[in-house]
Amino acid sequence: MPLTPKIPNEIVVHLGAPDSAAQNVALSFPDYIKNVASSEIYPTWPEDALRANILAQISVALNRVYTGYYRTRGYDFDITNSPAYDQTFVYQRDIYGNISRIVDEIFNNYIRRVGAIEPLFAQFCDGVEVQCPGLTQWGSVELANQGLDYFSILRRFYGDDIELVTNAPFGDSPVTAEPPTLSEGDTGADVELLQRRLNRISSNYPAIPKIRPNDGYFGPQTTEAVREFQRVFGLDPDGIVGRATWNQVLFIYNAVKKLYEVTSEGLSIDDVLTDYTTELSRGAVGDGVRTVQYYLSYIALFVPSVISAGFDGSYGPTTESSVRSFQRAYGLPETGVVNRQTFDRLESVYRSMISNIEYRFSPGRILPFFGRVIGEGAEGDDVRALQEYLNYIAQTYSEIPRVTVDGVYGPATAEQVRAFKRIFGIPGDGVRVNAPLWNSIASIYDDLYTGSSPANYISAHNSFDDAELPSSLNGKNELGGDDRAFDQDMPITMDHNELNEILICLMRHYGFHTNLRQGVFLQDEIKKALSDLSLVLGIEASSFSTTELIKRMKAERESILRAKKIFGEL
Amino acid sequence: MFNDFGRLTVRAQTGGAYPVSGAIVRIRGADEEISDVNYSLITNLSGNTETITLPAPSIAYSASPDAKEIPFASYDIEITAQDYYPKRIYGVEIFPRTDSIQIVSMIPIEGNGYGAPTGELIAEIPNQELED
Repeated sequence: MPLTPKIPNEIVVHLGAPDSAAQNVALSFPDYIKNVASSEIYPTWPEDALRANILAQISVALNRVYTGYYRTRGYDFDITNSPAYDQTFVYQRDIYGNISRIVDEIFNNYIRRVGAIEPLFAQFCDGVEVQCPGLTQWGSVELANQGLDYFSILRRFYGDDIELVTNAPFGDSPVTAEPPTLSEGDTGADVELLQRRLNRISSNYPAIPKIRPNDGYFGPQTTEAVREFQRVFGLDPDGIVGRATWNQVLFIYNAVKKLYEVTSEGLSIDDVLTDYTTELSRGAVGDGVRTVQYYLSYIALFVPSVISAGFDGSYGPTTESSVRSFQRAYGLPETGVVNRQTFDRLESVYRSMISNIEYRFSPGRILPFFGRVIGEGAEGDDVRALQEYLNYIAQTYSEIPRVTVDGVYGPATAEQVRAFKRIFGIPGDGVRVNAPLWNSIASIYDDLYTGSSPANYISAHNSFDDAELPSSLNGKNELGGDDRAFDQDMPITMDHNELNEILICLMRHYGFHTNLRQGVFLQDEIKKALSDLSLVLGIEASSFSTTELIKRMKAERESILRAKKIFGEL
Repeated sequence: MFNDFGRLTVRAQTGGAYPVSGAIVRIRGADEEISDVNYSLITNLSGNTETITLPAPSIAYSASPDAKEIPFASYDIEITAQDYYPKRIYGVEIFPRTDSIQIVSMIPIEGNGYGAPTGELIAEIPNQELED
């Protein structure tokens, strides 16, 4: 089965010709395509012309990402904004509503040559000033006016041997099932998932009413929440959740979740936000690096020209590039090295972003980690919110004592935190509340407030059924038959995407460096990962068959995810 | 001749996930013919302004490459919100019979006299017609 290219979560665009000294900006893939489409074509054109053009633009972008066209040449971006090299992109421009809705529907569709895997580099031009092989924009208008549908238009320009790929995976799941259209009267797990997502989004967008209880029944409350969501985000407010609405829900939900995810990914339960101790540069590892990466990734959510770093605690090319982008944006010398000046500025910018959110508790409101680890003696609005959350949770879990909400962290609050940790299986005797613990408390509060039980989070996440290992991956050929670690008689049966995902998760968790990326199958990297991980898992590689090794890793990953759920991945 | 209309909504948000409510949005016509168009709006709890109707050229100008006139109207927008750096976007394009959404990413003020990060105060949409 061919590896299906995955839609990237983010795409990094260079705001100039490849070798120009211009800034890069990072944005979500759908937002990028909406921008390109609004810059390249006129929204008043017939719908089929719009769709044909948008599919060509998506395919061009995916081709650049999938082939790593710029990255493999040493550039730190995926594509440029220049039509001479790629396609027009105008940073911060306005987007046309009809184009936006089409993109929401089809951003994970693209075209390719029959029998090929990579998205087609679907060259296009305007067709009047410039001629070219491939789609001409004015030509597409004419064909649409003649009554051709968008796929026929594409075939006219690119040949009959193209095919349309629909439903390419995106986000965190290895496969994308076609989301069902939901409307009033429907029931089931999909409805419950929708309700939970809307409730999370409504914490940030209070105009969207909370759905309580979120019991998986699509009633009038749910319809109203959907309608309001659609109104806020420029969709047709019909109260029906079709493709475009589903996709918007997912992306907004992910954006909202990201702020918490950043804080929980960046720090482990024992980490503390560190002060500057030493200059950090390529090759450095450890807590100082993790802190820098955390700051950068948080700031990146607010400033598109700051490209986020990883979370692996290892200062590699990605982190260096990220530091440079921050230095450039903030007028510091672009050394790629974190000296005192850069570190202080990182902290200053980060704090400005945290403190800007109106930090006040109100029922149902999930506040992000304030940016400081709080323990006995601390005072403030974050302590106040903490006490409110734990008091609310205590209504259901009576082993947690209740306290007077006074914003002062005393022994009583400490006892609350201790009890919370005991109940939810969080290890350690300490009562200091850092980011992951904060997120964990906030998420349990949110579950109870919105009426879903915490257990739902665990079961609703991708369930790993050990009995079921989907499609075939020939262990010998793909992974290198020379390596004795792999039992050549038992071919591995697993989907490439899922294997990638498991390996990336485990490599990051154990702090190993890896070049593995979603959507790309890198043979040598997979070998390296399996080899590194077999050390960590305490397996003598040669004495285990590949199937067993992978089964073991799956189980390991499962338990890590369970722990992460408790520790704050919402 | 701007004898048709398009619509515009401005959405102010920050961090990709928080609406900025209470932001003041001023909209002015950038082309000479619409220089008297002037709006002052405030964003609501979801960060959105009301949707306003703005003059735009005839839809015929976007129908074929032979049209001699620019098919859209240009507007300049200025957004200010307490505790955020102000933002200006020049050349917002409004097509006839089309809804436009202008999303503005607001950046919190850092304090200590620091200015906004590079490239985030002003955006200029180049007056481009269809070209390659």
